[in-house]
Amino acid sequence: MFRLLSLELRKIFQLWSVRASLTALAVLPLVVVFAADDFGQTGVVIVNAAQVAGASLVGVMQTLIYIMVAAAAAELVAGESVQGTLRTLLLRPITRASLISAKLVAAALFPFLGLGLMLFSSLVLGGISRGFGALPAGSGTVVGPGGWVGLGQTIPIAEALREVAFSYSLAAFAMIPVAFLAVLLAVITMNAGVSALGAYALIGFMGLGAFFPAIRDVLLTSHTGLWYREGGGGLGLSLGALAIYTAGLAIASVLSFDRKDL
Amino acid sequence: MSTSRGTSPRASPSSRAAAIGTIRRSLAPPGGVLQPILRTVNLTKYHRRTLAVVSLNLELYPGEIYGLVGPNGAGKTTVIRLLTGLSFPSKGRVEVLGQDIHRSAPRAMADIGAVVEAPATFYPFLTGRQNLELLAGLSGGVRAGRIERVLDEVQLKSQADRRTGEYSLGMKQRLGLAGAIVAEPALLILDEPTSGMDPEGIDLVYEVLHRAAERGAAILLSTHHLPEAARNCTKVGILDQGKLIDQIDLAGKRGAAILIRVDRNAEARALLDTEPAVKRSAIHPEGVLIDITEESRLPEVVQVLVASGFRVSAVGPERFDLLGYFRKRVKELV
Repeated sequence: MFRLLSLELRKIFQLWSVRASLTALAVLPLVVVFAADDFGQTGVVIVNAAQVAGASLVGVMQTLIYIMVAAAAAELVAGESVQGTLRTLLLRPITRASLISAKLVAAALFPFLGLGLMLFSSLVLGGISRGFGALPAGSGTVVGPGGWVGLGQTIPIAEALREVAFSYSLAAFAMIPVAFLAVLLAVITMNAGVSALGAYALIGFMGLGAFFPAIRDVLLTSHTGLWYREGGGGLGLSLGALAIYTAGLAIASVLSFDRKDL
Repeated sequence: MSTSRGTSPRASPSSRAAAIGTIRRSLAPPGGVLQPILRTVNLTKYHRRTLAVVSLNLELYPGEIYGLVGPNGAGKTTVIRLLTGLSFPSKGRVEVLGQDIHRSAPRAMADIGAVVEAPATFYPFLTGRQNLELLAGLSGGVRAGRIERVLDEVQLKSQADRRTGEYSLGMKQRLGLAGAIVAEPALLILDEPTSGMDPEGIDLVYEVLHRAAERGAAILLSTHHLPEAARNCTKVGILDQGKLIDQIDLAGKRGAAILIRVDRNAEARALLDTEPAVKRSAIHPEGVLIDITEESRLPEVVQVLVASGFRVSAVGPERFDLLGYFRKRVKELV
């Protein structure tokens, strides 16, 4: 299992979707830095690196990260099937469960890797351009409704950075079930494009469920925004829901792969 | 052990047959019946409602090289994928050394070396050696120095540290074969192992396969190239529309008689019938077939023909005309 996992982790950096995503995530904070003037026109002032990181996260979590995570996870499975190396591995005395588990772990690590890179890039670029001063008029939250825009009370930079890092961790955790959904679709279809778009479409479709209060709480999309909650309300419920989705999708992927004709 | 082609000539069919006989005797339990390495029982596969493989029953014994031939779409690749556990049967089972490949997959796979893609596929960002180390590591139990020996055997040692993304098709095929034999499995399953290779590469592949067979491995390969199968396989199965329509034991047909390509067949035969070294003779479309008392007396027999003014163009073991037989069988079915 360790050998397979190290192979998957090495492989993930070879995927085009991953390389493109990591480049985009590293560059995105630059957009926030240079767009500061436009933010200023709307009454928003980006004053420090923590705000650059917060604004970058808000920007990427709207759409982009879902596509990136789904594409990388789908390519890990279906891309390798098309390339033929999936069969090469399965001709060795390994279990299918161990192979797909290694892929699931690699897919789960990607959001942490990508968002970690974006956080680092935000702090470097934000630090150079805006420095690490306290928020002059913070709201008490750097990330969250009205938070990063700088309304409310002043908060010191250390607390702001802690808050940003926590939000990034929650955002990455929220992306694991999205990655696993793409893995499951890739196992079923063995087509990276269809799986990535399918996962994204399903997430979008689930988002519509917000209009139906009876099912709202059981939908994945009702919990993927936990990183954005002011004051952390309902955090436990959302973490539990995401954990259940993660486990369920992982089990479904393992079971589907176990009987898949390749 | 030298493994270069120059120093390890391929064994003749008769010496191979003798070696196989020795292997079979050594693997058979005392007083018992030799167990097949590969056995399929009523192996059947539906693709949705289409019957892709129909009740296939195969047995492969140590030292055998089994060629699976058939037209495009006959089901060869489906059979190979069923035999390697990549695909699941709708009915029936596949046993490798008595173990059901689909029920005890990892254990049974330890006895199989296979290439199911043509060309064989590898991680392009790794070198040939790294790919081989990866496969050997996943197989487990590969002896120290084995990777170097296998690279030498498939003549890739000088290219082993290049990334496989830069390999030619033939090199990929040879590395695929290296990956299949690296763990010294009892059974080799190869889907078109010589596809896209040059004649030298093809010879090399069969030399490696013959050596594996002489060590006691059973080999199943699919090919479109019937003369290649006729030259190298001990048994050939003809697959058509998922059905095994015929099995031909080539080991029994090859080397039983000697074909002398000569002008004036009838007269040559009449002369040969007077030779004490010739047990029987027969007219063949390409010359005269003879059955000889001792192989060592063949030069003497040829000398008699030449001395009598006949033009002898070739002498060798009779080869089974697999292509002609294949065409006839497929025509019969149509």
